[in-house]
Amino acid sequence: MVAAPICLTFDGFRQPPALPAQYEQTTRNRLMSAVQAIHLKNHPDDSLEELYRACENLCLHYHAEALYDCLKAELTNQVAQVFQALQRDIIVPSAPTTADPGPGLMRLHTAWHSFTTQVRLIRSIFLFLDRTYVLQHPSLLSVWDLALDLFRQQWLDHTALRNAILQKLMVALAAYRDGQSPVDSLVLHSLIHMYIDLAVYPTGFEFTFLEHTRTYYTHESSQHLANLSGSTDAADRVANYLKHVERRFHEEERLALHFLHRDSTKPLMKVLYEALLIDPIQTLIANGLPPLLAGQRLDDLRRFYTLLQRVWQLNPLRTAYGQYVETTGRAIVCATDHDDTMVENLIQLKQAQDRILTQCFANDDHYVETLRNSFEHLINARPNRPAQLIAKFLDSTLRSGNKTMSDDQLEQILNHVLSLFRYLQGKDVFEAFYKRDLSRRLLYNKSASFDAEKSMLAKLKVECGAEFTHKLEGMFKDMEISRDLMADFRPARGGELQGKQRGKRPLAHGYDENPSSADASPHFSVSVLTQSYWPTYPPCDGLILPPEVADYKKQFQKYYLKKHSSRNLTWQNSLDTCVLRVPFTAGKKELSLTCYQALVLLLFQDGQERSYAQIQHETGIQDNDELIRTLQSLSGGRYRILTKNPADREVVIPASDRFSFNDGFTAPLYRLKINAIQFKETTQETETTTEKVVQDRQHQVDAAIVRLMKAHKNRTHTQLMNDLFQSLQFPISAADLKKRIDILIDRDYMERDSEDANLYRYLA
Amino acid sequence: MKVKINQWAGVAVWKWCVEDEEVCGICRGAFDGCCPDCKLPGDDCPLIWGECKHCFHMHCLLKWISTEASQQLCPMDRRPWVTAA
Repeated sequence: MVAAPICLTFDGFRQPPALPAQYEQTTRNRLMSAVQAIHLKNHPDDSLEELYRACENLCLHYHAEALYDCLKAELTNQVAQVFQALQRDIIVPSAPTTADPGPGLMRLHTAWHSFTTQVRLIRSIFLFLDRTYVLQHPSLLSVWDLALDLFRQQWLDHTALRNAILQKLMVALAAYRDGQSPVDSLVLHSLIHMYIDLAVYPTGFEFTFLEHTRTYYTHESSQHLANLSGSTDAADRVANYLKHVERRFHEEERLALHFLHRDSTKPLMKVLYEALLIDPIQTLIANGLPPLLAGQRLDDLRRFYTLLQRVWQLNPLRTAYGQYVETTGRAIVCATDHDDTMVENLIQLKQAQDRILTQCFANDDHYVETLRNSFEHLINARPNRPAQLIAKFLDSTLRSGNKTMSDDQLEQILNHVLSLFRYLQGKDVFEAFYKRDLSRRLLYNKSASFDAEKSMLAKLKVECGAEFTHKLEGMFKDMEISRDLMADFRPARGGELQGKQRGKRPLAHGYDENPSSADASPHFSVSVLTQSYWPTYPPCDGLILPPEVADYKKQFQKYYLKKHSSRNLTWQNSLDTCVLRVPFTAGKKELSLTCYQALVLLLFQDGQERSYAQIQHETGIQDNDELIRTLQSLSGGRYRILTKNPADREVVIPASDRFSFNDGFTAPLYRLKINAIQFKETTQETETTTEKVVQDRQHQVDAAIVRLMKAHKNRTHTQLMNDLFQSLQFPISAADLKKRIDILIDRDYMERDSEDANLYRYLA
Repeated sequence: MKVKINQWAGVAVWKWCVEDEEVCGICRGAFDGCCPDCKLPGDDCPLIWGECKHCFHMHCLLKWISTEASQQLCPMDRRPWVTAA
């Protein structure tokens, strides 16, 4: 038997629980009316808590999609309303573009501000929607983004409004730059950030802003720099302009920090750099730099450098700086009328530039290099003469030396001179003149400070190496040896002379410390020179020396040759110096004289008048030029020891002039130095010294050519020339080198290759 | 009028006692110059005379004597080198 199946039915589950029929509609309406109330700045009817719950309920009951669409429609509607109002309020067709931008901007600012505040509140209400439905659908925008997106669309659609606002912003910012503030900076800040929030900043604002900035500053710079070239106050104007630029940079940086997106700082500064500095850079440098340098306006120059450093434009400034120094220096060097002040002027220029380098140009390596190059060019702009004048300047410094300045000052001057010397190409010219001057200082005891001499020598040694100063050191050594010789010689002398000697140790140059004591016997001394160290002096034989001098020299020679058996001794009488005590009617005077002067003066002890020929005969001075100069120095000039007859002119004429002793000579001082005219630098002497340098150079060139050819055997003309220019220490022209090469070919040191005329072969 | 000489400073130049044209038999350099090893003539590079009257740069000669091939002979006349007093 089959039982019938039992069927159980549960009635209660047949209908799922449901919301009240109108619930979704009414709730949505409640929410939307709240949104509208917020838009109208009214309080919503329900509390925010209830609204939030309502939204939550709708979402939980799968009505989110409809709610989102509804909200979107509502917001679209609201934004449209906002823009209608904006359009109506801001766009005033009749107003000019430059009208006060304040109200318009203010209006937009308020609208934007209330819109964002409202959206924030709305988002809070619809937070549950945001967090669930929107999150689960990646293609949907969150409430906040949705609102912004709607705003952006409207913004983009309203071209006229957009342009009007941009225009007003530009006017406001320009006014801000001009130092006025027609618009609250908060408003500016908020509006610019509106562009950022709407994601339209780069194209909608920044681009126009930069263009506008460029126009603004290009205009400003051209206004500042108009008619600059040739104007007398160019330096001041450029200086002020630079100050202005500095201030502008500062201001714009602050503006960028306050108002702009931080990525805008860089492009903004770039625009600024270009408009204010890079574009007018040539005008600035050409008109501003020379007067600023000439006026040594350190602060302005430092500003110039710092600004250009900031814009990576140091090279144009450096080039112009080098040119300025070179032109200025060249003018000093080539001013042939002002040779006597050339070295001083150059030192001043160098000092000024050194100061500018350290204080304004931050000791920039490139600038140091430029300065060095400029000095190298300018000082060698004239061949030989600067080298000679530097040597001469040193001579006068070391002569007067410590008499007028302290050791430190002297040392400083020497350093300055050295800094010029460093740039000389023809150092051999300098050496020749320096040697000649040094020999005079040593032999005539003119050197003011032995320490200074030594210090200068040490400096030269550091600068050019031991080889350069070897000869100069040799000269000092000769003087020391001579002093030792004199100490040794005294006791060796026999008889009467030895008895009369005072036991004092003589000074290096034979000048005693106290030679004026009345009854002292003559004080003799000799300096023995090593020929190769010293400049060559013309021999002067046949001088008739006073007997006691001649006797002394004879004895010394005997002594010396005994001591150094394999040597010869030649007297250089023309270099002798002496002190004579001469009784004038008004009183005795001590005169420092050269040998020639002394010989002439000694003749007149008999009180006779003499003719030129007589004097020449009795003194044995054969050299007419020398004798004329000597007579001129005694009869003309400051101290007239001899009277010339006729006395109408200074120039000595050998044929007619007669001379006599000037008994009535007076002078305020007891010891007098009769300046010898030949001591002055004569053109002839300069020529001979220069000539000697040229000869030396030829030898060096010959030696260098032979050395190179010997090393390489075969060398093309170009190779040889290049090697020579590298190995030779002084400036020389290719033509001169070629001449020497031809001479060496003639002398069979080398030959031209029979096939290739450009190839030289060494001949052993 | 009687002038009195208070001071007199003379100047003289020394040279080696050789003929101007003569050269060192070893380095063929002038006696006024120096041996090839020295930079500058003068006291630092003296000359030396033998009893045979031959003269050389001292450095040149010493270098020669110190070589074995020299057998202590004067390079000019091959007689034993004796430095003149």
